[in-house]
Amino acid sequence: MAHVHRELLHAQWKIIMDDEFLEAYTQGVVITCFDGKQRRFFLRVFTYSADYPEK
Amino acid sequence: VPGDSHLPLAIRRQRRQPRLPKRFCDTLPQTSAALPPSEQPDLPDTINACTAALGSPQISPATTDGAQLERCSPRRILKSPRNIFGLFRQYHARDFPSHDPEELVTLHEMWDASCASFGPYPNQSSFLLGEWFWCEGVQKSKRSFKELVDIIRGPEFNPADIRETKWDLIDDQLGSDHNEVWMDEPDANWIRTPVTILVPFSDRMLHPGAKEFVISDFYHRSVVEILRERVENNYHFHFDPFELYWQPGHVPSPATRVYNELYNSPAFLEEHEKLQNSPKNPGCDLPRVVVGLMFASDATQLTSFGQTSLWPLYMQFGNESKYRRGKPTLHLCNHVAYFQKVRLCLPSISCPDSDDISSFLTISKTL
Repeated sequence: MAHVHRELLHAQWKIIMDDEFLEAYTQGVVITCFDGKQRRFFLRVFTYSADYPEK
Repeated sequence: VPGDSHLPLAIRRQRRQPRLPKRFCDTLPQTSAALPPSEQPDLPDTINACTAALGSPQISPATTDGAQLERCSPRRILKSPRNIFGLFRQYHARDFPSHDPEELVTLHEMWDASCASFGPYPNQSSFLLGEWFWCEGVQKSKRSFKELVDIIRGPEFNPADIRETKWDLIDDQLGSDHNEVWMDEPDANWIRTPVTILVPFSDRMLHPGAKEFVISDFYHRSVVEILRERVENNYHFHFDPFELYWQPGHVPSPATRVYNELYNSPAFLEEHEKLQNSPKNPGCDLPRVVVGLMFASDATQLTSFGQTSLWPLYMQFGNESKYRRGKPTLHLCNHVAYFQKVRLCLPSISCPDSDDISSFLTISKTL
């Protein structure tokens, strides 16, 4: 059952990180910003995790 | 004093103005000091250079200028002026960024209190009365009467506020359930994709081996699409990461590194460095920006009694200040997907070898 859960979650992440996402990750995606200037944006995933110290 | 001679002497007398002890004085939060003007030539030139280089083989003057500039001004360490707390920003770049997202941030953007809305009620006094009427049960009681009196005697109550209130109209609005629940179309830009997984069955079952299962209702959005939406027309998006330092003015001390946002964290700066030092896309001279995606997810129960649940995937951009991201009314937390779950239903424990898989394993429909 754990296997099926994991498979399904991974399959869904695979859909989220589609070719468009990978293209933006490796080659960047050009977007015109508010100031009329174009910039090339590269997607990167960051995590910040924190927790209260255990008692 | 001639002006207030009609006042009694006790009031007229000059009183000593009591001053708050220093320990109670609070300095309001402030943004970083403004950046010195950028000496970089405007970026549209660079874009022209980029397109010119792409379009024609001969080198236009703009391109040579840009190339020369790149050669003669290497990236260096640039320090911004300090603000009143002794905080300053340090960039590793050729020049200060042409755009400073912290320039226009005011204290009011950090909190939500000032924009409190009382829904269909025009003001707080009307809201308090309306709330009392609807929430106090059907029978009169002494406690309820006391609460009404407390509302009317309260410091926030102003009788003039409720003089014009149209109570019937407000109650109609409250009952009609049509008021701005969704800001956008409910299904706009959402994609529904079927998910296929392989489920293995053990040798002891009637049909061993892997079988395909299709889950149809996986809703998700394109991350790049969300990025596009968030970057266009957004003044507050940080394109250039920096190091933040603290050096109080009155004591000579080495500057202390301060971390308070993703865009001044070592991980972000490292990634920015890597990107700037990586080979450029062929024929393109546009500035390259790291976008910090921060995903978060937690399954949530929707009802107190029942099985309905959702498993949303949220995403925020680390290039936005945490103070802005933490303000719900700015809607900076994006929904990216709603995960589907596999739910196990056991029709009868006695026959685990049953091959009736469809009743054994059902995919929950949460949407």
